[in-house]
Amino acid sequence: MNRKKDMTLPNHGIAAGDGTGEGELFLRNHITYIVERAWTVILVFVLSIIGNGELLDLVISFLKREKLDENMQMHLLWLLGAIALLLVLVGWYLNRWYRTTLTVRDGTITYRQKTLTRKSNTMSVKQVSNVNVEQNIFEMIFGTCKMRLDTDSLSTANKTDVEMILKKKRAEEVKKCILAMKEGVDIQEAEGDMDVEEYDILYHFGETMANGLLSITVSQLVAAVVFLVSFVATLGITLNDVAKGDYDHVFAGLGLLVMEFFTAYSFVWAILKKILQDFRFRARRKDDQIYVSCGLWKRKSYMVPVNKINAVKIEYPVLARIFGRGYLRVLNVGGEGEEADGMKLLLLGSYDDLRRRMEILLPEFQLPDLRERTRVPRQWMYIRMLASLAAGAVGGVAVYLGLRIGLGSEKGFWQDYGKIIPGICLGIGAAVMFLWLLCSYLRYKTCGIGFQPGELLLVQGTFRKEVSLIPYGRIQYICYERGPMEQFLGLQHGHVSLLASAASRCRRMGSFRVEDFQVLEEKLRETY
Amino acid sequence: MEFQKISGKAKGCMMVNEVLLSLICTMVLGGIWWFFREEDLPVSIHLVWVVLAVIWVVSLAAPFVRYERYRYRFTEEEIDVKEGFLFIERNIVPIERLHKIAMESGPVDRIFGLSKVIVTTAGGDVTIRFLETEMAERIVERLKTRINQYAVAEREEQKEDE
Repeated sequence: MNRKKDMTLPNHGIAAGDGTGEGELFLRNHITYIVERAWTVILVFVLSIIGNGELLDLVISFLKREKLDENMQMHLLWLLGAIALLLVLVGWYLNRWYRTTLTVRDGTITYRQKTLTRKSNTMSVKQVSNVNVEQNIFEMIFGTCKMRLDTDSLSTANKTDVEMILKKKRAEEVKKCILAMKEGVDIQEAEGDMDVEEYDILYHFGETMANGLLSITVSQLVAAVVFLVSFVATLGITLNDVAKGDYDHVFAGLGLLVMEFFTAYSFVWAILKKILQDFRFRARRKDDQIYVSCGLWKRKSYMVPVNKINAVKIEYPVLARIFGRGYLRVLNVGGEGEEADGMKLLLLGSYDDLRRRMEILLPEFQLPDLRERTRVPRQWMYIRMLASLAAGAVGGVAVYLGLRIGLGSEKGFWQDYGKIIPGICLGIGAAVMFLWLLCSYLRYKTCGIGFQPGELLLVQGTFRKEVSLIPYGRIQYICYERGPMEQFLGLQHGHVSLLASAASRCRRMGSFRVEDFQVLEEKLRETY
Repeated sequence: MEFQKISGKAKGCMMVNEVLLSLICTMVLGGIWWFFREEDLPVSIHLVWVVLAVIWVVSLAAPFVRYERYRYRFTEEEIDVKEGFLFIERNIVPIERLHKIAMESGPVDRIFGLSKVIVTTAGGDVTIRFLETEMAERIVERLKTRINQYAVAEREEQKEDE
């Protein structure tokens, strides 16, 4: 069936005024753009008036038409200055709103911003890889949303990615139009936003909750432990001070407790955010597109064209790895907003779960049995042992030199502690060596490489684990590196380069035998 | 196709670059020695001269080792470059995946009549250094022809599909 139709667009209720005609889309941000951009400053302004008693008195006196004393007049000047600044800011955003436009015409999209720095980006509709729609709480109230066009070219990704705030309905229509032009089909045939009730995969609240809790990063975990320990310690000390009646220390303790409370708050919020952002995560495969939709307070829906996927990776954050759970991301260009290292396609699940769900969503990639991967040769550990010795020595000597430089002139210190300092430095050196060795051992046990019929399998990680599956045809080039010890032991390491965002472009391969990599070269050659 | 060695002039070019770098290091370390020579430091300031001696020895030896190790190969399908001094790097680039070819030569390169060819893929750049300018131009032409062949073949394939 020939689905190709005329690429010009019907007006379809979308083309707005401003001299635009049939087959042309002319868009400007919704007027709430100004509020959305300037609301923080407006809020600070309002709060500072409410919070500042004198300013509030001034406003009340002004309303009562009372005569102002000299002090009040000075406050009035400040207030007028602040209002003027606020108006300048609002004017700035108003100008920006008026002068930012998006035009879709004859298969090209032109984004213009004629403010102080004038810019105009033109790209072909065919270059659009994703039309994503996001909605935060503010936009939900006003019935607007952010429509983002992502391009699939690395060189243009940051320059031409376009974001517009539109009414939800209008954004859906524009999305449909752009997709229709991109696919060369009639607007009625084009796929719009995914129907909420239509999905192949849906995660329930319990799964989303587990996903949020197990996705905590090492730094968050460390922050939580440090907070808990310090909070309990401060609480104990403060209660003790209360019992003694030492109220000077009680106030200091309370201040510390408040600080620790905010640390806890940020930690809990990070987890809550993870739960909320993936709330009701659902995905659907239709033809060559995957539609994903999720979020509670910030709703997000994005589309991933299957032919633009350059690799997939399963990530196991530290906690999730303990429970044998990972989530799936796809590596492509475009769509790197908050997710700089690829778009999420499946939430945390066991390897078998992921394999089963991938068969539905992305049957082009098949997860292999990880036990069959080639592991890092034992000789690599010899190199790491030598390196850990060197790291320990450097650590110990650095601490010693630091003490000599910092406390060299403190003769009393050296008389009292001079004898134990070498022992302490030795201990620190040993601790560095042990940590280095531990990390090396974890990497040795985790890393691996495998050569599937169509894809390269890479397993990387120390505390967290990452499994990448890269089609040989998507590898842009291979780079090998060999240090002096590796040359001696017949090993080499390196990376493969992909068309992906900067964070994911280099997929590192651990240290393996030279012969292992020859298989990779042969597989790569089969693709050209 | 066998790996090829780079031009003999490369040794001179590398040597000039290394000597320039070592001179900068000498000035910096000499300055450090001058400022701290009378200070009471936990380690002798004269260690600076040992470090400098090592830098000069390595700098003078590196061009010979690097020259011997530098190899490149152009087949019909790929570019293969090996280089390095202590750490050896090898890059294999399929010609089919090239997006851009560039030729550059810095001031020191020009003194020796050398140029470098930079090939860009969608995933990054690979540079083939120390090529005689004439050779670099030939390589660029050959790569252009090959890329054009790929483009024509791809277009025909697309037509057939349609």
